[in-house]
Amino acid sequence: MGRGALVSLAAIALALVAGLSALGADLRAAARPDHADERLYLPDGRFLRLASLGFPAPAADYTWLQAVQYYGGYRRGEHDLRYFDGLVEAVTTLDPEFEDAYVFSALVHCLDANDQRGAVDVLKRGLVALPDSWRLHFEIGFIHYVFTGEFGVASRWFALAAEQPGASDFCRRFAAWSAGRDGDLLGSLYLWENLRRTTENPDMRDLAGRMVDSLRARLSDEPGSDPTSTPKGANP
Amino acid sequence: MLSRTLAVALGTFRESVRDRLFYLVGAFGVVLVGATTVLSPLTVGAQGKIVADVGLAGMALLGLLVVLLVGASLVRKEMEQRTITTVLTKPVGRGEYLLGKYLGLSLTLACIIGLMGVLYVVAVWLTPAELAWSHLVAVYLTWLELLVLTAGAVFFSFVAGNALAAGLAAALFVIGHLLRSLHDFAAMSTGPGRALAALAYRVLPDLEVFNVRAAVVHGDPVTAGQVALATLYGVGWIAVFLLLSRVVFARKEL
Amino acid sequence: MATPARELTRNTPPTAALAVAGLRKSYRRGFLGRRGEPAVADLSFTVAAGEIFALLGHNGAGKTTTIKAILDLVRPERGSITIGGRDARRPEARLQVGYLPEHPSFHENLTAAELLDFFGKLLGLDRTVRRRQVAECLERVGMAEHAARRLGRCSKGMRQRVGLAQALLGDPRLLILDEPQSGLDPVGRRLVRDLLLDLKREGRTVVFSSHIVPDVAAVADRVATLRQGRLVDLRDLRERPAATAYRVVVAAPADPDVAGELRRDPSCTLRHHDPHRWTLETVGAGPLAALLARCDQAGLAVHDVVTLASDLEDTVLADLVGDAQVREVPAC
Repeated sequence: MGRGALVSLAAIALALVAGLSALGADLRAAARPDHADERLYLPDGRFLRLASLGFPAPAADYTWLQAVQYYGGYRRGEHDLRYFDGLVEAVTTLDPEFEDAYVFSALVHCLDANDQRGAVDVLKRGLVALPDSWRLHFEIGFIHYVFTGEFGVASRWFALAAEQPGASDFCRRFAAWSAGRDGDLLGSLYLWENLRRTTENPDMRDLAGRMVDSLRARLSDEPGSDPTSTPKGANP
Repeated sequence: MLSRTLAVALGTFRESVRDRLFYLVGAFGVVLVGATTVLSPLTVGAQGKIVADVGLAGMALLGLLVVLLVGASLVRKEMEQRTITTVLTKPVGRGEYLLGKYLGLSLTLACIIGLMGVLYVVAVWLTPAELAWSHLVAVYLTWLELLVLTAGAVFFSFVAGNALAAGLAAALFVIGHLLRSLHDFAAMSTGPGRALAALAYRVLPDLEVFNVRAAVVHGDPVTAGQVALATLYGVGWIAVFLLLSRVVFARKEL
Repeated sequence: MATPARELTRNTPPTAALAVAGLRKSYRRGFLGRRGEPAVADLSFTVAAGEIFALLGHNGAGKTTTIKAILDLVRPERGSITIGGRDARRPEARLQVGYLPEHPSFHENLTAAELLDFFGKLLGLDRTVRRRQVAECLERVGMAEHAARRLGRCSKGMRQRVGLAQALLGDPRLLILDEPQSGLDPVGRRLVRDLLLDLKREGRTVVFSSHIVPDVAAVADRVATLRQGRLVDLRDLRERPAATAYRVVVAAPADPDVAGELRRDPSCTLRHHDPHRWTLETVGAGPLAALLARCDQAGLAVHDVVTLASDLEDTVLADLVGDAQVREVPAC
């Protein structure tokens, strides 16, 4: 076969690809929205684990993609979040150390379902598999701080987070701050002081120093002052 | 031309029979029996669904096995073992040979999927679930998807080694099914990943077009128009892969 | 394609069974690599219908590449090839061609008869013709009784025979055999030699390659000698047979008459003699036979007959000899 004939064959193939690309797009557009109720039949995670034939982690990743897709569908208003929990549960059964899944699921619970208890439950389930995870501790504290306003509880979770290996400095900052907002000025002072001494971040040290000074001043000037009068508008 | 192509096709088919490829049908039987006797009792009331799900998925995956094991080495094996030289020195054009080999494996797949289909229909019929025509449509589209993958595997086998060609075909299978997600991913991401995802979205076959399994299992209608378009789409992609294979094949020295 | 090559093709007589003009082929190293030294360069020859044409040369001389180019298995960079006047790149040109590869390899799951039947279909033979020809071809190479044996269970020699049988299928006018005698036992070599002569008698054209001079000299009408991809010698053995020299070692004749006769015989030369043995040399099969007959008559025991290089062999070996000479030059 001559060169010319081959070139024309290749050209025909490329033209076909272009045509098929368009046809594919049409077919996709015509396709009914995802089978939401397919998730109804999502088997139990323990079965999936068996069915993944020794590759639970990739299976978890795949299921995770499905979960994110499903959430995306919800955000675009295609369906509700009925099967989201099932998907996440399948993911975390396949791969119990899938930290992101717990965190993301907790946020969905708080933000989309307004279910803070559920969110904390998810994170606590994560802690069973990942007891050393500072992030899971931190997120529990964060939910108490931001959504339920239980600053004392939040502070204790933040402090726990700070004790976990690899914890970020801001855990301690959050702990100190929420202790302050809880009215526990001494506790807050202790935490800020501790942070100022140990942090390697100069900005953080600076901030902690200012907070320590301000708390000391308040503790000596007005022993009975309103604990919630920490500088307004400031956030950890 | 046609008689020579058919001769090559029948030769390929006979070879696959002698290679005991049809044992896979037996494997499928085991999967179905497993689904009916072991899994179904665990699922309260969803017996029909489980049999249909596992049956259709098993069919597709075992078929994929044939594509990866046989399709990716279809022509290459003959080049490596030099059995191809005597064939091509008969008055057979390379295009005829290529098409013949492809049709032969398609026929093999048709028989394998057909036999699996019979077992599948019997298995579904034994459950309380309703047996609809759409089950056969799902079987047909599974076959069509395997044909597209075979054409892709044949093309890959011309540009890469046997193992790599099988890997690429497997990747085609995975990406082909994730293509819609890939599109969403492209829309969300930035940088080279975005361009790559967008390109893949344009130039790779969307295998979800052939996937009516969920619809069938849930009793949703599958229209004739949908099947016709899927067929057109599949045949188009097969033509693309075979044309490209033909171009590369012409440059191969044996 | 170069114009001179076209001219050559056009000018070849219509009887030419095969015409190769200006063939050049080098292989790429790797997928997109540079081309190496040409395996075949500027090769031109024509083969007349009905002759046995040999391609002679050692391994790597370009014989197989030439054959593959004729059969469109490799793509020449330059030159044109016609088979019976048709462009060799067209599949139809191969309708009248039977080919035996150097190391035939077939689908091991098929039996000899099934394989030939498959090839018969590719040749477009209808069922009855196919059945008859398959049986005939297997019979001809002595494989009739093993027709139902799977090729995977055939010995190397049997596979070579099946290879020959498939080359004969479809009553081809031109047979192209790549090293048909390689890997065969003496019986097999004899079978191939006789087969080639039979094919010629039937009016077919045979092109075969070999690196063994006596095999070529025994059957070929014309010989093209290739060295490093180039044609170095093209001769008609019918006009100028390859002269092979033989060395004969006999017991020293006791009878002075016999001794004198042998010394005077112009067709042989006494190279060496001692009280026990005489070493004689002669050129050509006829004089050798005459010499052996004479020794037999005189009651002289023949200790050894050795084939020495022929002048054809010298041509093939020339580059090796040349190398040796180069090596002998002092390195100063």
